[in-house]
Amino acid sequence: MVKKFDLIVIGAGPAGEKGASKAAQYGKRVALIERAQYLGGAGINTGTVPSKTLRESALYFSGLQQRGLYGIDYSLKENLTVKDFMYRERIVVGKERSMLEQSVRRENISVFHGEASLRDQYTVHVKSGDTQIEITGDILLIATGSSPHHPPEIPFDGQLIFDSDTILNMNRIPKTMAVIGGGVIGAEYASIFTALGIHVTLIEPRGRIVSFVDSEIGDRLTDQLRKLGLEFIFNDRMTEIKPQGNHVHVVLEKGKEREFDVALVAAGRQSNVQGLGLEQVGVKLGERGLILVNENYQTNIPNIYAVGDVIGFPALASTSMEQARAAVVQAFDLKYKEKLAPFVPLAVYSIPEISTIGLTEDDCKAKNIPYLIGRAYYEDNARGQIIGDMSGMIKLVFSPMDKKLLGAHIIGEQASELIHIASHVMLKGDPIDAFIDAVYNYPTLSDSYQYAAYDGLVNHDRWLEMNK
Amino acid sequence: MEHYDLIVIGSGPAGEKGAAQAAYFNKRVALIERNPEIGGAGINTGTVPSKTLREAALYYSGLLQRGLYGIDYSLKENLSVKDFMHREQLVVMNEHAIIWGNLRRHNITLIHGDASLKDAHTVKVISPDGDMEISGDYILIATGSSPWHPPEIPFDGNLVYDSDSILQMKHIPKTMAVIGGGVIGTEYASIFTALGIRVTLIDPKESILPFVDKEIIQRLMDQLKSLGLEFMLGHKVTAIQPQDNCVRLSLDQQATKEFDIILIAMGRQSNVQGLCLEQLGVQLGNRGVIVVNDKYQTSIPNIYAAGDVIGFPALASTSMEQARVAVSHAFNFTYKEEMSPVVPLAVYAIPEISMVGMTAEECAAKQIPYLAGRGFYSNNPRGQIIGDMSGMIKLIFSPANKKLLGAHIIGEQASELIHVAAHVMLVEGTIDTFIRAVYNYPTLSDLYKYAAYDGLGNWDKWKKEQGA
Repeated sequence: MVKKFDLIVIGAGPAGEKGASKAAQYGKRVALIERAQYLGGAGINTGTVPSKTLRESALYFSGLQQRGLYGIDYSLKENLTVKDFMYRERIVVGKERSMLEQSVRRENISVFHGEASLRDQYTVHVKSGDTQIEITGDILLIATGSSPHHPPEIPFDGQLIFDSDTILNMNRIPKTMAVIGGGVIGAEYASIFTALGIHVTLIEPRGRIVSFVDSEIGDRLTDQLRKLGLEFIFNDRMTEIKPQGNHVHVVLEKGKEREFDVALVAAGRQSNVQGLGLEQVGVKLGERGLILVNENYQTNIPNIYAVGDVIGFPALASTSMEQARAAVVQAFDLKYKEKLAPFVPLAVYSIPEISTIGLTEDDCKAKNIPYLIGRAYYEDNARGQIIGDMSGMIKLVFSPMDKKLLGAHIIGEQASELIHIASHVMLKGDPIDAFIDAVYNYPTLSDSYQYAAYDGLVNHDRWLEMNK
Repeated sequence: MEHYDLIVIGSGPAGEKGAAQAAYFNKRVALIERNPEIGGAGINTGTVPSKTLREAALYYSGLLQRGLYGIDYSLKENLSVKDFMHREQLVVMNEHAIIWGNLRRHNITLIHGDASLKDAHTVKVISPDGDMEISGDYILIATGSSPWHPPEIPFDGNLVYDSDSILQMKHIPKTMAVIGGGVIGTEYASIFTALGIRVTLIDPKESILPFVDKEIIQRLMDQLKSLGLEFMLGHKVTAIQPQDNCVRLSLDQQATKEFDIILIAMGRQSNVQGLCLEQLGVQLGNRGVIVVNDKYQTSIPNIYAAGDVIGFPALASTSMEQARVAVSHAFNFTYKEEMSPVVPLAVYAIPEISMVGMTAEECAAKQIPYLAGRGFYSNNPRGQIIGDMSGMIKLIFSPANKKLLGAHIIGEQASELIHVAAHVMLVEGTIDTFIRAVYNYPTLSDLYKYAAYDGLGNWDKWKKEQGA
């Protein structure tokens, strides 16, 4: 007998789990299909959580130096592997998995472990070893995530040439490393390994890294990483990479040839759509298997939705969850019960970290939106001085007419936490005066919001003067 | 005799901001400071130096908490307190430069010397360069406070310290008694415990930090106990006798105990000596606290007082705000007519505590109906990564309309995270606001969402009970 559900979710990462729970909370019958043994997807099992655990060691080690804490003797141990830095990883992963399992059980979601493939737009076939079943659903939500893109010409071997999954299994700490690609993943790993004392060279065909970030913030990140010891090769492309003895040999388009102990190729990701049978059902796919969706996360087949990494940028856990919520709200017409967030923050966990919400200065220029800026620097802030973070900055982008906050951009320690103050102000549609009306603890980094707002008000006065 | 619109006495956070506020609106302002350095206790002996020391302690205990296996670390031998405060001088110099810049930009006349009031409009300044008298329409007293020295206690800066002299301590002792469980006592007790000293905190009351939510206090005490701090609450010290190399304490239950050193943190007294306030009829309270109304006006209408000199909460952020309100009231500025209704407080213990709005106990005492929602760091991936198992966010909200009444946080970054709740309270938002927002992953801020969901669960239960 074919089991029938209101919603079938394929993939139990952050997006899939969130979509499944949301529908279940509204009394829908939900099936959740996961091909791996555990729930949680790349976020918990190979991506976000393990890399952030590694980052914590790197951050702490570089933070010790930045703070100049002379009373504490510290050094890196010898003969380390990457796993040694990830002491807490298993604890964290285990805890996250068990929380997911609890939540799924609480919501009465039917979990199927196995490989899913679509028979038609309502029917999903699940194969697990020798057992096979078919289930049907009114709505399908595809949240199968993505994997590191493997261009065929690159000989990934997990020994000398790594992707962002295998790099965490590196069994030694090399002296030199090439990172190919300056997107989020490339920038994050390049800064982690630089902070751990590896000589890292980042190769990026464009003129800058993390190109969606406000360019002033991006430039500060580049400067800061250079100070930490990261070497950048911009505007050049890798044309060849191969293992040579116990080294990696890299050839660049403009003729340079370089040797590295290891290389990490972060050349983007490809959507996990193989075997799903989407093409047969007629779901339109883009480059690297990206599922094409409209603003409601609906594919060209109206009852099939897709969310998370499988649809591409920004491919962040927090945004993926929000997309899943939006898709479920749309599919089951729950608009009157669930308001969706109009603004979503993004964070790049480089060292220093970056976080951003709303419009960048570059966006305003490109779209001819009038804007003014207010800036404040960690080095002018007592807490920034205490922690020795001299590169940190908060940048506010606001409208000259009504001083409404259009965007906020932060680089520096705790950026990913601090951004939420701006996001609450934006949610309310408030002007930058909101930061002046507030009182902040002293000494805190948050207090920089007030200084950025004052700086913005000075620029606003000038603007009023000029437009008299 | 020079005449000013405003004379400010004391250049700490309250004095500086009050002076700048008036000068910004084109008032003639004189600022009198008796010390060679500007900035007051906040910068020179109090907040900034102690927070710099705390950073070392925090970092050291954070290393232990995170279990960063790859990093070898230990405390150096033969340390003095100053060794932990490498960044202190930099921070202090930078803060001085910022204040100087602010005074210069606003054309504030800075006068060094000891001030005393001759009448309600005339201030006499005695300084090595000669004495002078100036007059002002309004006077703002922001002279701050000093550690209170009960006459029976033999302070010597060698075995018996106050919170100023403790930072000059030459060596790190093995054992230490801290007498007084207020903000300063609790902060120093946790800093020194985190640096490996065996600290005993003694207070005649049954609880430390009486204004903090009881549940948060319980967590703080549990955490400090597990770090090694010993509490002796409900005990009164009856005698303090310095010996050759230690101090003997007699306690009311006839016990005597010996410690290498003791720190007395039994409150502060207002710096009003020599100001001749009594002669003018300015009303003073216990320990010299200047009595003011809600506009920070004393019993003499043109004399205002702000900051530590008026007592609780004696925090830099609040003091600045009080001074702005005082100056706005004096000159009828519409800028800041009353204290922000939402003022966060932070206790920089380890772990830190921060709060805004009402506690559960306050609601109960005032018979205001309330519900709570909790989120725990141990259930949050970022909390897991940093290993902070004691952290918690607790929301207090109104059952009638879900309006946020208060927020209480214990754990890393509490003093920063509280501002998200403060902004929600400023716009009188409900706990649904946290559910509507999207937070970066992994961040501690995400716990607001979980606390709000927990609150909604309790709200559903409450509604059922009401219906039943």
